[in-house]
Amino acid sequence: MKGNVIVVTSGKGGVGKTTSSANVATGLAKLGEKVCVIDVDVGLRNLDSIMGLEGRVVYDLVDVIEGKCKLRQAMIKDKRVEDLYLIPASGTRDKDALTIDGMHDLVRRLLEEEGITRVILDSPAGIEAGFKTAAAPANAALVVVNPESSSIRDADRIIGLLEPQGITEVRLIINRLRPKMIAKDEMLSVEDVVGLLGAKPIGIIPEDENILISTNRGTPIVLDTTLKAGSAFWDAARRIHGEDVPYPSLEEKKSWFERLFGGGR
Amino acid sequence: MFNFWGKKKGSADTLKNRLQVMLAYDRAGLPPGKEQMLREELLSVLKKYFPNAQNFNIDMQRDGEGEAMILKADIPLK
Repeated sequence: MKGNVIVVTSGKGGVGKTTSSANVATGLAKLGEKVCVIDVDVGLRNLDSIMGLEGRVVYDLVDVIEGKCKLRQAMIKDKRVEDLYLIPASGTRDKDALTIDGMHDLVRRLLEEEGITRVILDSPAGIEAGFKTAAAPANAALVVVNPESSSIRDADRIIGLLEPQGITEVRLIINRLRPKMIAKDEMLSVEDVVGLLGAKPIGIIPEDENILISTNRGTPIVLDTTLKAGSAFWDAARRIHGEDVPYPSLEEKKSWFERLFGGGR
Repeated sequence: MFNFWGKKKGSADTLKNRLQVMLAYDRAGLPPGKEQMLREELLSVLKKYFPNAQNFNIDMQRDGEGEAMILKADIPLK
């Protein structure tokens, strides 16, 4: 993706937004980019624990914006990957402490003064002020969507709000796909979701219980590409990085009977 | 709900069709219930200005791909 400041958003909560932020950021750093991922979900701090960095939080996003610490002091350096930094959200302050000007200034300093080449902004759920503050400094967006009714409807709303913000590079991370259900025509396929939302995918992530296990451990799953979802996030990171990675088919093979008689689709 | 072979279609298809309609109305910013009100009000205005015209036809249509909603009015003025 051309945009070097990417907001990760979804509208609906609980679709894998923070997981996607952590894995995309980790993957991009593994690919050699200098990445800073910012938890803009002020009041509900989560990204630090998903990345296993919760024990090293001293200062947070609000502290930096209010000038209570140096920018460098709030950037937690990852233990596993070079050039990966996290600025955690404040767990106590409310989101009114953030300003659009403050966010713009922070991102500018990361790019100009700290040598960061890619900023990932983990947006809060919803379509209100919190999302708008997170999206303000962005020039690209990843919309995380699950193949179900309310997630798609909310993603469509968010996509409609990104363009007026000047964000035209919008790609989908379609998360929690269940190939067996898609084969039985009981879950929307990648093509269905892409057709409905009119945006291109860049990540296609199967449902994988290993995501929960890696979250429990505080190790982004993208670091283990032997796992289904780990390899899917790795592919997504490579595509965002600019590599041309083909999309593996998630389709389960249909039985000869279904193929003959047009079962499923 | 049944295809040619009498096999029950999955819920994915149902959801896809429902979402196409939902998203079209969401994007147009018009809840489906208000469409009927709009149509009735438009008709009454048209009848006021063209008392003799008949066979007005006002329709909300989804654009080919379902991307946008189009308010289409056929008003034969004769």
